[in-house]
Amino acid sequence: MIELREVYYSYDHNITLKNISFKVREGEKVVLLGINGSGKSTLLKLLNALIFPTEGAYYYKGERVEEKSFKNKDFRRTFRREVALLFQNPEVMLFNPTVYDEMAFSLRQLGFREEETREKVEYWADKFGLSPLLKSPPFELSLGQKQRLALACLLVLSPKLLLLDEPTAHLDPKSTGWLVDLLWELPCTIITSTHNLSLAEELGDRLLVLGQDHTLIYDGRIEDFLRDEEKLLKAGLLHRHRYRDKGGYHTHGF
Amino acid sequence: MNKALFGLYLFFTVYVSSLRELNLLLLLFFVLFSVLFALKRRRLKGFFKGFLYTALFSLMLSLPYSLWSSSFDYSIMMLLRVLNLYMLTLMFISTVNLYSLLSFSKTLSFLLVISVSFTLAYRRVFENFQQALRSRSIEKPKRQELLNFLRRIMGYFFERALRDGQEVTMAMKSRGFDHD
Amino acid sequence: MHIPDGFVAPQVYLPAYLLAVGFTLLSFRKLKEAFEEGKVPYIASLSAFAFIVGSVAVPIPGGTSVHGLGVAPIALLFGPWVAYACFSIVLLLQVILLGEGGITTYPINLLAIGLVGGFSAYWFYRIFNRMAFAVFLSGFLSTLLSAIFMSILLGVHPYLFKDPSGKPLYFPYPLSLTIPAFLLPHLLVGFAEGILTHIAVKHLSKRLRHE
Repeated sequence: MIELREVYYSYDHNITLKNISFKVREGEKVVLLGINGSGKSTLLKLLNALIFPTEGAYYYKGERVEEKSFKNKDFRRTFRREVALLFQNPEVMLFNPTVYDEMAFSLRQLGFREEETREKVEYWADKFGLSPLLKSPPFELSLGQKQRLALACLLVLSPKLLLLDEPTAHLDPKSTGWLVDLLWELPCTIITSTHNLSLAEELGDRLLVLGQDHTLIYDGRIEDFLRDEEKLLKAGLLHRHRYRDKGGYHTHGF
Repeated sequence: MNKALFGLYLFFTVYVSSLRELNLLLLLFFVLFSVLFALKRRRLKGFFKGFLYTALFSLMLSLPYSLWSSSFDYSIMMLLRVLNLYMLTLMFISTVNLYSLLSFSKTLSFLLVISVSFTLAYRRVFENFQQALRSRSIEKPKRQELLNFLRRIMGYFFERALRDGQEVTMAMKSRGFDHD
Repeated sequence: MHIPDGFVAPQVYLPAYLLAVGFTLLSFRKLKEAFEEGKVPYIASLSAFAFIVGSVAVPIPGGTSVHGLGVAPIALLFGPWVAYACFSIVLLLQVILLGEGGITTYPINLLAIGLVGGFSAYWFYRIFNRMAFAVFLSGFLSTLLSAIFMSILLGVHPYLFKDPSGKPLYFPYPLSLTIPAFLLPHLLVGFAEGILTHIAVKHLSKRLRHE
């Protein structure tokens, strides 16, 4: 479905992605793991075509995604409809006067009739526990509610590729469980980023790891990676300390 | 040291900006250019881009006049003066730490430092807002949608500015800064 | 409007500095009355707010988007002195962070935007107080006034500073050219500023009254 070939990205002379290549097949649930600052958000924005590779190429369904491909209206429409990104800070995605308008935003742009829009919005609002809030302004919601709303806004469109940037960051444990279940229910391809080692296993079946040097240091099954202490240390995902361990080092994940 | 350099910079700025003799301007141009190259440091990264941009901008303003009055001396004089001032400024900011200039007043340097850090932070979030709008828009947003977006941007940063102002005030109090 | 260093005469920018810095000191003194404590953090955060307001594209009728100045919203929300204090920082930040404007043009921009723009927005609002479009108009007209002020400062250069042969030494265009050349684009900028001001007063000022 998507492919990256030797992608580099730099901004203001700072390299944030270095020689990244991978493919994702339709329907895969991929977890993108890395510490803060390893380039996870940048990679997801690149997959959402908000920024473009400085070097290398990005293909979506066999078509190259570049700045100029967005001049083509049909391509832009298809891409923006099929590929959706949940931003790390959900706040930045919400700018409509009410929760209802927020969820209806893209549907209206697509020219859906108001009844159809209402039907879809109500279905997802109900599923996400947002029904009682439909008339309130989004910015009055709690952070957890904003996160759910932002995700609901993306799902009303039934995207083909869903990119989630740290989706559990603002959720309490109960909502996190709810989100994990939801993700496995969705039929689309999903790439979820996290810095939380213990969550990785629950969010997908394939793992991509960005190292502290901004390169891709692992691509494969999650269980194998979790057993590889050396790689975990390299990714900065473990910490070592001597406290309470009588002289020897003692290693921890998050 | 910094203050002496600052004084020197101000003096030369006033001097160069009042110069009109082409020979002198040209001489200064070569001196500044070579000094800049000798100083070549990490911070001069964007030098050529800025140099070209400044030159073009100066020509854009002065050339219409020269074409109309057919005196090209004027454009040359302006070009040299503008570029000399540009190099002078670049030289200054690449050697002097701007914040240390304000060290005579704790309040002023604190004000500048937190203004810069707030602004950089706000700009990053603002960029994310814009990207989110682009990401969620399947069609080009309509005027009403853009106005909603604008309202939200202003609302968000307004609230945030009030909150940040209050938070830093309290932090300062808890650290014992009672007055400024 | 950004004019590169070199086009403005020292005889103009040096007195402008004196005036601009004097007003900055005065504005800081006035602020002690506005925020009883901790005016420094507020000025910093409001400057960052003003910086963003001035850099957001405003959709105007006709399908295009332009930037406003961002000073009138601050002047109407917090008063012209706060707006002036903020803009003495905002314009500095534009030099440091964006490389826009220079050391000799800073005081001129500050007087045009912070002083003329901010204070006239405030006074226009008071004059039109009862009219339907008072808020929009104050943003719109103050921008035009600020543009006129700027164009006069630049437009007097060719009369005052020329060599014996009559060749200009600094900014070359006379008032008859600069005034229309500044006013026309600022009709759009003013429109954007009007919209920003409208949003600020209609949607944001509520929040202030709560406190």
